Amino acid sequence: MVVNNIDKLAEDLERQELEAPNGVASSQVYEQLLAIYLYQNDLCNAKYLWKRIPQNIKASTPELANIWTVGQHMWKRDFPSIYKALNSVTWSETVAHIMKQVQDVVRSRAVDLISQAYSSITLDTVSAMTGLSPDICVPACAERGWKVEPDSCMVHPIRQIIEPVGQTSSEDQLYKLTDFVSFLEN
Amino acid sequence: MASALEQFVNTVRTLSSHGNFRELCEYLNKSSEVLLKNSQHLDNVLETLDIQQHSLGILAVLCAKFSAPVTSSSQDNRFSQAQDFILSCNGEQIRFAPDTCKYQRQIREDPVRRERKKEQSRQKYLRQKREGLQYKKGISQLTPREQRKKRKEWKINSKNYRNRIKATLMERRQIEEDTPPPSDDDNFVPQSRRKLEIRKAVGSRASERNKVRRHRVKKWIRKEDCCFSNKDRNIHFVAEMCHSLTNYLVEQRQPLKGIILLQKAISKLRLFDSQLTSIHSDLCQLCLLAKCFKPALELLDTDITGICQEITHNPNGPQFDEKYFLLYYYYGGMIYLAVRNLDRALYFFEVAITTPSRAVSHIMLEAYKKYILVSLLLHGKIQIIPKYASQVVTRFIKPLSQPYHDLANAFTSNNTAELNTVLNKHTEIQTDSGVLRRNRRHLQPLPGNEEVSPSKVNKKVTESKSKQQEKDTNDVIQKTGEEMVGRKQNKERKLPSYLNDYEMKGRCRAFTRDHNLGLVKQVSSVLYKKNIQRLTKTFLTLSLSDVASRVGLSSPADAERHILHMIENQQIYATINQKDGMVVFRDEPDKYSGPEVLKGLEEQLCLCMELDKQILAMDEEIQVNPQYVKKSTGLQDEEQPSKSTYAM
Repeated sequence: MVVNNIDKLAEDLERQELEAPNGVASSQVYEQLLAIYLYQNDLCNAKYLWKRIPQNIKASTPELANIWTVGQHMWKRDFPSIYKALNSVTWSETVAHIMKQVQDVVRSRAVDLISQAYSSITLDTVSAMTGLSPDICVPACAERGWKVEPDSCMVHPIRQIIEPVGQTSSEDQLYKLTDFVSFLEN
Repeated sequence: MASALEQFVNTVRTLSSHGNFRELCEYLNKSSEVLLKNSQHLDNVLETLDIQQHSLGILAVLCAKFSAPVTSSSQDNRFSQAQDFILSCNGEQIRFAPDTCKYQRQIREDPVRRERKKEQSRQKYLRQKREGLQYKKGISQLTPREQRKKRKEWKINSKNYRNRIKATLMERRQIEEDTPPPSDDDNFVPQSRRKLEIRKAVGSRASERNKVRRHRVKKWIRKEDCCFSNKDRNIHFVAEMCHSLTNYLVEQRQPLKGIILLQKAISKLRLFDSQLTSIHSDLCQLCLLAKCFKPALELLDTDITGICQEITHNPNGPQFDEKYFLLYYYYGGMIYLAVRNLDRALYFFEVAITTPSRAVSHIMLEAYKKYILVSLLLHGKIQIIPKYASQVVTRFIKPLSQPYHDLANAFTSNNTAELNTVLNKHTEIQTDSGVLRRNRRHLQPLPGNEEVSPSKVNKKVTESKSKQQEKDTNDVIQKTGEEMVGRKQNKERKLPSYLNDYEMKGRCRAFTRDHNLGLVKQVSSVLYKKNIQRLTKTFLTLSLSDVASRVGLSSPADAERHILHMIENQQIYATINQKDGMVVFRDEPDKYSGPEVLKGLEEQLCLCMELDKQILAMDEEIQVNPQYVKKSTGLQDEEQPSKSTYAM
C-alpha cells in the first residue's frame, strides 16, 4: 500500500474517533488506528491511544491488546520479541494488511540500523534483529554486499551512505538567493 | 419572574432583527443577573430563540446556564445545547456584529437612513449656528471692518484653490497628451472620478507629514474604541462559555467530546491563524486529559504572534487574562513533552517563565520545575534563564524549587550514584500528612499585587489533579491571602521565614507531589547516555565492558544496547565490532558542503526573514499606539518625529 494512502486513512480514523458520539468509537477504528501508528513508528501517539481506549472495548476486543504488545516491544526496541508478537497471532481482516506492513517496516529499519552501527556482527544477532532464520539471512546479506565469514559466523556489514534526495532547480535557487540578498541589503 | 424573561426574549428579538447589535450587547450585559435568577426557565427561552438570527441572545443564555448552580434536570442537555450553538451559530454576529464601522456603512448604504442622518446633522449645524455655540458668526453679523477683512481672506483662499486645480489639470492634460490612448472609448473620464482626482491632488499638497501621522493615530484610536467596546465584549461571552464548557466536560470526565467543538470555536473566533484566544488553553487542557494530542499540536505548531484582547472592562485598557496565557504555554509544553518534542517543550516553558510579572504564579512555578527537567534532558544542564525574565523567578521561584536544583547539581556532577541518592531523598514517602499539608501551603503563589490573582491562577492548575487536593489548596489560598497582606506591609527583602521551614521538611516527595516523577526518571536514564557521549570525547576505541564499568551499567550487553539506541537516534556516531567486543567512536560525518546543508541554511534564513517581518509589523503597531505616542511626544519635543525603536 502506498504511504499516502495510509496517512489519509489515519487522518480519517482520527476524525472518526473525535466525532464519535459519547467519545467512544468502534473497536475497528481503534484497532486500525493503533496499527497505523505502529506502522508510522509514532509510538508516543500509539501509547496514548492505548491509554485512552475505554476499558470495556479493550476487554471485548482482545486483538487490541495483541497489537499493543507489539507496540510495547517496539518501545523497548526488543527486536526478537517484536517478530514473535507479530507472528504468534493471526490478525483479523481489519488489521492484517497493516500489520504485515509493520513487520516489513520494522525489518528494514533493523537492517539500516545494522549497517549503520556494526562493523562486524554475529549471524545470530542478525537473524534475531531481522526475524529471519540464519539460512535465509546468509543469502540476504550477500545480496546487500555484506561479507559473511562462514567459519566464525561473522557478518561484516557495509555502511550505507545516505544519498541526499530532492535537488531544487537552479532557477528556484536563484530566486531564493535574490530574496536573501534583498533582505540582507535592506 | 417569567415576565422578566419574556421581556428579555422580546428585546433580544427586536434588537437582533434591527441589526442593533451594539445595544443588544449592552442589554445582554445588564440582563445576565436576570437570567441567573430565572435559571430554571432558561430552556424555554432557548426554544423561543433562533440560533442563526439570535446568536448573541442564545450565547448569553448559555453562559448563564453554565454559571447557574447545577440542577439535575438541566445537567443533561447543556452539552448538546452548547454543541448545537458552536456548530451552527452565526459567526459574523458573534465576531463582527457590533462593529461601529459596519453600523456606519449600513447607514451609508441605506438611502432612507442616510437622508435622515443628513437632515439630523443639518439641523444640528443650524441650531448651533443660531445659538452661536460652536461655529463663528455669519458674515452679516460682523462689523464692516471685519467683513472686509474676511472677504479678502476668502478671495485669497479661493484664488489659491483655483490655481491648484488649474495646475493639476494642466499636469494631467500633459500626461494624457504624452501617453497614447489605449483604445477609442477610454478617453472619457467620468465626472466623479475627475473630481476625486482633483481632490486627491489638492489634499496631498495641503497635508504635511505631521498631519498624516496624527490622522493615522486618530483613526487607530477610533478603530480601537469600537473594537474594545463591542466586539471583544462579545468574544468574552464566547470565551466564557467555552471555559464553562471545559469545566463541565472535565467534571464529566469526557474531555474527548469537546475537542472538536473548541476547535470550531477557535476558528470562528480568531481573526488570523496565529492569534491566541483564551480558548486555546481550554483545548490544550482537554487534549491533555483525553490523551489525544493531534488536534492540539495543530494549534501549538503555529507560533503565536497576536493576542485576542478579551477583557474590556479594565480601566487600563483591554487585556488578555494572563492566566490563560500562562496556561496555554504550560499545557502546550506538557503536550510537547508527551509526544517527545523536547525542543518545543523547552521553548514553551521558557515563554511561561519569562512572562513579565510581579508576583509568583503557581503556573510559573510548575513551568519552572519542568523547565529545569527538560533542559537537563535536552542539554544536560540548566539552560540560563533569559535576562528579560522577571525578578520573581530568581527571588522566589528558585528557592521554592530547591529539589530540582539539587537534582540538576547531581546531574552535572555526572555521578550516577549521587543522582540516585538525590532521587531517593526526594521521592521517599513521608507518612506525616501534617507536614505535607504545610508544605503544600508553602507552594501556593505569593500574591503581591492585583496582576496575577492567586485564586484565579490556582484554580486551573489544580483541576487536573485530584479533587481532594483541590479542596486542600482552596482553603489554603485564603490563608495565604491573609498572610500576604501582612507581608506586603512589611516589605521584607529577604525570604520569608517559612521558606527555611520548607527547606527543612519540604523536600520529601517533592517529585511525586509535583507529578514530575516520570520526567525525573527519564533524567536519570539520560545520564547514562550523557556519560557515553562524554566517553566519545576521550576515547577512539573502547571495549564494551570498559564502557559498562565507566558509565555504571551492569553488563557489556547493557552497554551495547544503550549504544545501539544512541546510534539509532543519531546522538553519537560509533561502530560496534561484535567480533572483538569493541566500540569505535567516529567523528560526526557531517560534511558542510552538501546540498542538505544549503537547504538547512535556506530554511533558517527564511525563518529569519519571517521574523524580521513580524518584528517590523509589531514595531509599526507600537508606533501608532496612542499611549505610546502620547508618552513619547510628552517626553520629547513636539517637532521631533518619533524614531523607530527597531533598526536592523
